[in-house]
Amino acid sequence: MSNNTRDPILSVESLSKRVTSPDGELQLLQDINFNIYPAQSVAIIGASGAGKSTLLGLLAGLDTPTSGKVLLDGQDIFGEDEDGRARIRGANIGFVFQSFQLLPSLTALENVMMPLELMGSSEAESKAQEVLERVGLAQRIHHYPRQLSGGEQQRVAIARAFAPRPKLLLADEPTGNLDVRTGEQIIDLLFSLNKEQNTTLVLVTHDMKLAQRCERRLTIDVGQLSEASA
Amino acid sequence: MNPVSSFRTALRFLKRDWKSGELNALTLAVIIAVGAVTAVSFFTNRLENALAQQANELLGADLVIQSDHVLGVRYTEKAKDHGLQVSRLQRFPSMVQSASGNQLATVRVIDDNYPLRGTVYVSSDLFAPDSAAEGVPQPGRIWMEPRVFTALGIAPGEQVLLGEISLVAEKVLASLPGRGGDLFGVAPVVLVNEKDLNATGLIGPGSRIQVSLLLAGKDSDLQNYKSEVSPSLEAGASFQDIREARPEIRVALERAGMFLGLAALTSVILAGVAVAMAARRFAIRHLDHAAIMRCLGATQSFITRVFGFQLLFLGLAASLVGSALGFAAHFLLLEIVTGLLGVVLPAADYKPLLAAILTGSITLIGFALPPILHLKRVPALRVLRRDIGNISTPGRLAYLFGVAALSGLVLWQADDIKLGVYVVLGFLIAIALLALCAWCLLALIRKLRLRGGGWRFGLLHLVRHGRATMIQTVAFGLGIMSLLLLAVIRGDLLDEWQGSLPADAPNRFIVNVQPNQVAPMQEFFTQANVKPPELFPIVRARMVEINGVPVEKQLDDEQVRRQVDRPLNVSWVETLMSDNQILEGKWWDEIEDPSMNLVSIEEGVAKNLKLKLGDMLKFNVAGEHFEVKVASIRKVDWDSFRANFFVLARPGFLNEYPTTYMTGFYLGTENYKLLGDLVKQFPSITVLDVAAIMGHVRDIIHRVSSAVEYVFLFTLAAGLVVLYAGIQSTQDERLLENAIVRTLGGQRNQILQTLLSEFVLLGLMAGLIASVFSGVLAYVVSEKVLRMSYTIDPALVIWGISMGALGVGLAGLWGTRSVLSQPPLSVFRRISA
Ligand SMILES: Nc1ncnc2c1ncn2[C@@H]1O[C@H](COP(=O)(O)OP(=O)(O)OP(=O)(O)O)[C@@H](O)[C@H]1O
Ligand SMILES: [Mg+2]
Repeated sequence: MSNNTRDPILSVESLSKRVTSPDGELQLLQDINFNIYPAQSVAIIGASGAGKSTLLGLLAGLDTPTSGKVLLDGQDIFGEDEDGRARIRGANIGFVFQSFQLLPSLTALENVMMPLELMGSSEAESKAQEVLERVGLAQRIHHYPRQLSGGEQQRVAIARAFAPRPKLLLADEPTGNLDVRTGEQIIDLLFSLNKEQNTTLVLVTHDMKLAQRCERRLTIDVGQLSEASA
Repeated sequence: MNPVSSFRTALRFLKRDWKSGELNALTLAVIIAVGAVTAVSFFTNRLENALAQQANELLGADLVIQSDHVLGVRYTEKAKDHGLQVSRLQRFPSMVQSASGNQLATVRVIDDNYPLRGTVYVSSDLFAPDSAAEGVPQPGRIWMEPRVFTALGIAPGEQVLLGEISLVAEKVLASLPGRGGDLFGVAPVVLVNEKDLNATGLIGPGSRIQVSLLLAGKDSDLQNYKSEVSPSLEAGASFQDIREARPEIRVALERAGMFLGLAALTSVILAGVAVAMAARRFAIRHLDHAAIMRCLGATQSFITRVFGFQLLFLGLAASLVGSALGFAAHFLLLEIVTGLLGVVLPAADYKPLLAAILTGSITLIGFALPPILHLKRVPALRVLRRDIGNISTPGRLAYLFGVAALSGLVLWQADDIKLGVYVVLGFLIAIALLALCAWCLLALIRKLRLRGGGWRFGLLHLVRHGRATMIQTVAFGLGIMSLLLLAVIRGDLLDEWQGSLPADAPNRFIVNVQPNQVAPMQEFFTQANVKPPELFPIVRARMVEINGVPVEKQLDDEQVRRQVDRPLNVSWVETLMSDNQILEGKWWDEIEDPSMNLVSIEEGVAKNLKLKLGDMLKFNVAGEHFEVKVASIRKVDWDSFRANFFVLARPGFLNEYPTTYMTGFYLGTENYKLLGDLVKQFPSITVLDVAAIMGHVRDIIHRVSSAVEYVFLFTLAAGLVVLYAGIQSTQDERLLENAIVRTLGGQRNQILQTLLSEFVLLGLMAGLIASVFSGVLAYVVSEKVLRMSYTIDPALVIWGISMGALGVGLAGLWGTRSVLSQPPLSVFRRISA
């Protein structure tokens, strides 16, 4: 592991998540510890319902843990309030939801412009357009999400996540809805970002080919994390 | 699939939805809306009945049959068959005599049941404070008005002669129900027991007797009785109720009734709007259910039945709960008002309950079902592709159906069909205008091509959710409009009532003052340290010709003819009284030619006799004639209780006719002895005491105005439900969107700006249109229905705008505040699960 000498971009310390459901207490994640270093690419794999999405959400500060810490560049994101976490995300993190979560009232272009506009970027439109072209949606930028296929929506979600050029890109099954060819294009795109901009990639995936291309693979099994050595 | 299975499925779905909390907002909206309607309707219904009853106390009965001869027993028997209380009252003029004088009086002969409504007030000394009488005069006793005592020169306890018998003048009659009529023209009243009537020997064939059959009982029984008896009513007999007997109370009651009716209608509309907003949310969320069921093989008719049943159950259940709560709440309202007023209320009708439950169920089904029915046209395969068939938002037709249902309800509920039509029309036009203005504003914002964050996001959001924005504008606008309309009319009514009966309104009148007594009388008041009242000269003159044609030949209306049959009081003044207002023509000071004999006519008389400016009128005073020209037509504020005259003449030309003077003034109870002294010094004058009548009028007006206040508060509550439901209706989308913005790094300030700009603009828009339109509607309702003059107040717009901006802005922020404090994932999970 070449990057171990540097400070980790993301550091997870004894992270646990427990929820109460109608069937009683549910331990979703138990005592998770790991570090991720800048420009690494990491795959999180595991069975359905293992807790992958839960972990990814916590890494982005989209949810709060029952206990434990997540440090981004050494800063404990759960030491901040919701607003603080939003600020950190805006500045550092791109996130692709498993269910896309596009704004239904905005066109593809407007969806991608959104994070740029929030940052106060003056070239939001041109930048967003450029990114949409890179994911192969140049023809569909003025379509609304409900007019797009599942795979197209997924590509808009990916474009939105990396339009602001985040340091850290968290993606929940980014190729889950794509055909093999488009999937590969998207994967190439993600890794070229990783190369060109030193973007750290954390990908949840069932796709073993994608997992293989990552430097590291973390496996979750019933809330416990283990790392297969490369 | 047969109906039974869709019935069961509906129940099962409902149970599931209930468990998941899906129905909370809708159920709450229906419950509160129905609750408000129930409370307001019950309250207004019972209060109206109570006020009517209160007014009937002035009549002494709920209903009266007047007759100029003794009525057959069939009237009484039929009344008893209908479960009514009956009392018989006979009236004839007769001399009452004492050793030292005599006086023509109206003898009222009563039975032991008198009065059926209201109270007789008596005192045991002349002009002493009075109290409620117990029962009626016993045989051998007579109760007499003060004028009779002074005319006969006797004190209570002494003997008087009535016809052939001698009676003890036991009590001084201060007021009695049904006294009414022309206070100045009618002879003083004495009250005698029926059992003494034959002994007086005053009644024989051909004697001038008037008989009143007083009736009291339940409204429905009275109506039945009236409709049964009316067709066979004999000549010379007629029905009379309070509305004919006392015009000033009629006006107050009618206006209050209209207001309460308006409040009830408004609460129905507000409830309907609230339910419509909640139903919209229900429909949108359940379209997916329906779509999926469709894909899984359910037929459209099955889906329709399932959702139809579901809405019906929900509507009925929530309406029942709501009406139970509303019923309980109306007791609370009554408790407050009756505690304040001390009235016993009549039992409630069933109608408000039915109205409330129909409001809940019909509006719910009316607004929620059509979009689901609309699904029929969506191809099964495309059901899950939202862009095709536009199934994600209810169609325009949905609202048409709901609005029609709501309009029908309002019209059905309106006691006054004119008011109902005005309200429905007003609201329909308002809906159209609100939608149109919202549309224009959205087009304008779209033109601006806004980009970027913060408040611009808010505006863009309004544009992007164009249809929701329009619907919300309409909903908030209707809410604000209703409240402003009620507030304006309430304020005007209260002002009008307060202004009409000031504490120092005249409560005593002196008539029959001779010209040579004017100066000494003023001296008398000055001596007693009471400001001398202004004395008006009166010439009693009968109108005989209009433009040279005899009056009898011109008038077809029996009642109008009777009005000119007796002499009118004609007075003359230099300056117009402050409570009079010239409607047409000019007052004397603006007319140059001093030689002309001019008069000013009161508007009602002018209307009845069809008089116009410039008409020449000929009057007869004790055989002599004078001719005058109509110079102006006046409006008189009769509610003021001040001395006023149908005909006012220009001073100068009536001086040589026989004149008496009269005045009305306020005298506190502490000064009552003064009147005794006055009568002693001027034995020929007549003192009329209207304090008791005024007390009644004031009391009724007080009750009516506090009722108006409380009902307004309740409608305000219904308005808040509209606000809640309106905010709720798009809350999911907003929460979801803001959670996404949060994910992308949106800051608290940015989100606050977005939300605020959005809601404040929405509120501003709704408030602006609503306030302008409520001004117009208030004008129409005031002028056309309440018959009050109304001036549009520009401050209304400020009220509307601030109400809209503040109310909607704050409520919107409050409704979406969770997005600022909760992790985005928990928002997603809560909403899209
Ligand atoms: N707030 C919650 N309340 C109850 N259960 C939850 C909650 N959040 C997650 N879960 C449960 O935790 C488990 C893990 O969920 P998670 O979404 O992390 O799985 P996953 O590994 O991403 O699965 P998949 O591969 O199917 O996406 C699931 O069984 C899910 O139902
Ligand atoms: Mg997952």
